[in-house]
Amino acid sequence: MQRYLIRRLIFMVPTLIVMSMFTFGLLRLMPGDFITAQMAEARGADQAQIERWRRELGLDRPAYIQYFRWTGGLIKGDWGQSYWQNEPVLKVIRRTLPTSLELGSISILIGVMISVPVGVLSAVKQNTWMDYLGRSISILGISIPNFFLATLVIIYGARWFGWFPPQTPQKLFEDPIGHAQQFLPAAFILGAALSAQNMRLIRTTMLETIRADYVRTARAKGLKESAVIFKHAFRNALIPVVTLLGFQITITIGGSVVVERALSVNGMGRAFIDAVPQRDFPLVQGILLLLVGVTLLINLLVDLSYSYLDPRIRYG
Amino acid sequence: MTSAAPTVEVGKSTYHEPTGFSKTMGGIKHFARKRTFGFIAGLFCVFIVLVAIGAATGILTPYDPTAVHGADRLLPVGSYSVDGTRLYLLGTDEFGRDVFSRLMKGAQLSLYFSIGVTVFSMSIGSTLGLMSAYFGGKFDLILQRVVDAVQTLPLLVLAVALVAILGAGIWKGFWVLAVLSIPRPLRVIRGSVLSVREELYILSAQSLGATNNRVMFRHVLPNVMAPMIVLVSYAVAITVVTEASLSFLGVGAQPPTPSWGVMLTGSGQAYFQTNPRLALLPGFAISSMVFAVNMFGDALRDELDPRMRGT
Repeated sequence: MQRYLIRRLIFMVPTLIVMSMFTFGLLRLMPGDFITAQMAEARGADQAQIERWRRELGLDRPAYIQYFRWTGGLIKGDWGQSYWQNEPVLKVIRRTLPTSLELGSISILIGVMISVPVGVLSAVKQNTWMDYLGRSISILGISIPNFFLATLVIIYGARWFGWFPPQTPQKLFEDPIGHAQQFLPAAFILGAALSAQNMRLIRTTMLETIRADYVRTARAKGLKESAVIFKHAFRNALIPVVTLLGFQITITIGGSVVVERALSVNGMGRAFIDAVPQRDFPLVQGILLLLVGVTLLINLLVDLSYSYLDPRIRYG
Repeated sequence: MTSAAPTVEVGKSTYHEPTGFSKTMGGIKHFARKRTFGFIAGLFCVFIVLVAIGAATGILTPYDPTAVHGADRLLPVGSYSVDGTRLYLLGTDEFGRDVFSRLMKGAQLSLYFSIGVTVFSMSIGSTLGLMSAYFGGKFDLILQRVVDAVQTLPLLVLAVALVAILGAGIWKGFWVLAVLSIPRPLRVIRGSVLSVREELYILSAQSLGATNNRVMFRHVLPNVMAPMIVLVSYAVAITVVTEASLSFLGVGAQPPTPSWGVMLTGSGQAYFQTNPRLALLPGFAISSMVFAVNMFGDALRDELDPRMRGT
């Protein structure tokens, strides 16, 4: 187990290196840099000025030198300076990541709380009206785009409840109610889509485990139906579900850009989408690499959870 | 005098295996009977295609979807233009453009975009997946590591970054999504081919001396058609939503292009209190299209997956 863990951690290094080259190279291949993005707005600076700015930011150096400077800094814990926000990249991440983590975890919680009972019920009562209702709702859930759901919440929140999304970030400890008003609608919107995906997967895998021999054995030895369903069928249906959940964590941390934008939540997704058009390379690279790292760690945790869920799976 | 030859042919079956048109019709009838909802969703997809064709040829759109009429700003549903010559079925937006025509033109754009992206990514992705699984070895190993790496980043995040850096626009969005959509079919087709490759009929084809190309395209490919058809439907659904999301974030189609995402984010958000229909109509259009494609895809999967038959 320990050896497996160490091997997996070592294997992450090449992926991280490749992805650091990928994100770095991608940004350098694109036309324009931070200076040209700024020039589009403030015209009139002379060529000498532009050259001096480029030199100050190190953008006049060859790409490979810039790359080694960046990665050398990463190793020492210096992620570089955000051009646009004018503060260290790590500081921007430290400010926005907790917001994204909070939003992500609440929405995944909402997703699980809806999808588990509905998915299990849908499988146990297969081909009844409950099953059809659950399935239709779940297909509806994955069909309505996040930003449309957000628009609906904004339109009808204002019409029916006089609610408007707070335009400024509300801190949890200073204004708990304002904070909840800002986060819960966003978390619910994200959670609704996540629950729809989960529900479909839980139903499909439950339909398979429910017909397994060990479930028949459990029934035959006189276990209560609830114990049969949850201890035997559901637990064995969990492996693909946990895989999907792991996937969803990265999606919600990085991919909630649309909802963050629509409901004015200042998370990492928002910081990212604001940094891209400014060609704020250090910040874009930093966030992308962080996402890669989080994904790799979550994939590892997901793999480790398999052996807990199914003791037949052993790593060595 | 020789006797006449017997006219009865012995041993010839009078039953004809249905072929061509009648076989297709039979399949559709069976599908409609067994998976009514999926069939209705499929009909709706056909309807959208017809709308898109109608919009492309201009037969169905009553007015030019980008024509600005300054006098007819924000007219409600079913009202006539100020000079009384035009009927706006679904009203107008803040530039006096006909919302009905814009919605239909949006269907055309959405459909062209999603089908184009899907055709491109499916053909490249499944060919690479097929080769990756069939040949194995170093090619497979390297390709899979690349796919692993690319898949560590969420599709939308990567797409937003790429399109924004390349400079917003519908065509840039198209190519970015087309390339970024390759890994998914590559993965799934590779998985299916890995199991098909071990079948005896592949070995027999190989031992008869068939070339690799022949085995891959004549023997392996037809046997992974079922997951491919299902993948196509999901890819179309995902692409419709992603294109709209890109437009919503301002990096996809640009105004005044009548894209559903642009309509929702532009006039839809600016006038959501006084004229919510400007946001609701394109939103419902996106949702209903994706819903229909998903329903149809699910029904197809149930029909084509032998394990799901009888459910």
